[in-house]
Amino acid sequence: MTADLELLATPQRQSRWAVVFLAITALRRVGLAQLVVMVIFLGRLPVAALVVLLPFAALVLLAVGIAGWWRFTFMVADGELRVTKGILSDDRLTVPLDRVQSVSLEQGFLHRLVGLVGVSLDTAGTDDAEFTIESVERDVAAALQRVTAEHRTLTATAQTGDVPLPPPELTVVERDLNRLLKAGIARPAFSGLALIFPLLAVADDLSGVLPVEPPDVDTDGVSGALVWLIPLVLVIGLIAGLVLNLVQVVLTQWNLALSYRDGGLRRTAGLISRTSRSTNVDRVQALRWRRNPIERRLGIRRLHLPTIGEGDLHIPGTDDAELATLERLVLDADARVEDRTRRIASAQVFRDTRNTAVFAVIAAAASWFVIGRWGLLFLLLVGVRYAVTRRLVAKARWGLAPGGAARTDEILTESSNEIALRKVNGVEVRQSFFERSRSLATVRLRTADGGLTIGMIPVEEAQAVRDRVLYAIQTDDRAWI
Amino acid sequence: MVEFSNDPIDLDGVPRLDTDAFRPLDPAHRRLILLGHLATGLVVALIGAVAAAALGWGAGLIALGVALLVVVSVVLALLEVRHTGWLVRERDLSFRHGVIVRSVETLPFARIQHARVERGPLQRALGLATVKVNTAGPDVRITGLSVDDAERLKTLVVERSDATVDEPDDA
Repeated sequence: MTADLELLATPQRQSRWAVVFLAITALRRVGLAQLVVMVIFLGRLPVAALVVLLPFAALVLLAVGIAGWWRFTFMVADGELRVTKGILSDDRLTVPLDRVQSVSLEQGFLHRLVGLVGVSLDTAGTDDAEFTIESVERDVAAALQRVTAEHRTLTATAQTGDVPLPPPELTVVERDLNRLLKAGIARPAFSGLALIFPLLAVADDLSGVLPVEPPDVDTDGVSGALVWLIPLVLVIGLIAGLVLNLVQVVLTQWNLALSYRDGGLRRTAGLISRTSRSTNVDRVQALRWRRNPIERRLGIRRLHLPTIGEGDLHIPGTDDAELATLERLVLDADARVEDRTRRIASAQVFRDTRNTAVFAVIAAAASWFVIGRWGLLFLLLVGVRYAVTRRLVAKARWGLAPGGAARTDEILTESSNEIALRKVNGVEVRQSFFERSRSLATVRLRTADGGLTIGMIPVEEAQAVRDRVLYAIQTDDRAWI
Repeated sequence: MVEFSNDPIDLDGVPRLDTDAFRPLDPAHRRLILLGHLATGLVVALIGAVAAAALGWGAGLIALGVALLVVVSVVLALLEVRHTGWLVRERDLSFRHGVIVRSVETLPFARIQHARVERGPLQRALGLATVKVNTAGPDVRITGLSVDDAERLKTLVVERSDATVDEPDDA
């Protein structure tokens, strides 16, 4: 700790390489669309003009980078992070360390080449309080991360007094390749294809480059070629999506590890660019997970810990044992809901089906003039919505504990959301017109990031939940953050 | 249909929020709403008249439709005022609002971070004010309190929480 403080005690600049990163950032700030326009414009200029303009532009960028690097200094003193910056203006920023929500270290590809890391700090403010240090040596960044984490723990212990502390150090999650591949396989295969959607935008240009001629579509009717072409495209798309998913998971989640140390959580992952993200368990506002049927078969789930501000933690491929450990770390003992047995009213099936029916009839009528009787296909939506909502109502479960609330849903994908009541900032009981006519209501428990909503329950029950949650908040002396 | 249970929750001495005890808004707020809608209505009528003169009666009909919408929104706004209310208990602040979707929001004092009183020009003329209360999660804006109530509410909220006071620049 003292060594770290000494390292940060004097105002220092970023690594000299930051000039390059700042220049790139400045270029990015110009905007992609503007750059494309500029390139097109430049392409029409005579070569002589380019010979003058391009070095000039490079010089300007370099000057911006150097000025930005020169004017940016940071230091830690008296429990505060002090930053000066601004090329023309003179901005002095002082952030108390206990306001820093999370310190993330990011190592992009360029950073790797020169052995540096970027640091981004997220503070308790809501708007523009986040700022980044483009590139520093790893030991400086790590020192900054340690100093803020230890400062947070010091103030947290000072506030909460002698709360029994969990084990000081613990590796909660460590992902081997096997589990990563499972997580990749379980992802919806077509979602990987979203990565190549941008290519479709330039498909016209590509078709000129590719050696394959796209087949001519017979506009008079469905041609024989099209009948086998569609399943073929689907199968190829499926395989391509699966491969892309696997590649993406391996690249971004390589060596994924989540470790716990003195109230802080730190997640590191990544193959080409290694990302490290740290936050405090107190900042975690809920424990959520989702799993689709494949993931259920494989015994894994996608875990999400929403935190105040930036720095949400996503942990794919979490098994039951890891979930149990995280529940113990993140939720208070009295916040774990053992009995999630309450249900929601089946009136939701009627309401949702009715709403969809109204929409479907209007859509079918409106599209009649365009696509004729094919418009009637819209009416199928009514059946789908009925089946989906019926299953939703049949499977939805919620429950309250003295210090927590939880809800589980399942249609095809199963999802769970658990919160600690002491983190609730406000409670709302609301009734739509439909709910009022049936004496039903919705209760929303709102935390600093997300919350828990239970709709379609009897109004007395909703009010009782509200009263109990308020009672739990108001009789709890523990700090909520 | 799906099986559905409705067992009572044991309240074990938990205090209940009495929804009948809410305090209404200041009556002057009703005038503010009428004035605002009157101004909108006049503008619409003016545009309608000009449009009817210039483009014929088709445009006038559209203006008539818009005028009807203004009337509907007056009725809804007045109904909303009737349903709006606020309630301060020892440990929390509740705010009830909405006509079609009715809602009661409750913020415990222990979670409130900022409180401020805002007054627009029309509100100043009518002796009204708005209290805005922020937490790290939801925020509540109570529009249509008397200046007196607003100031007292703000003071109370700040006293009972660790909240800071935001003084607006034009106060």
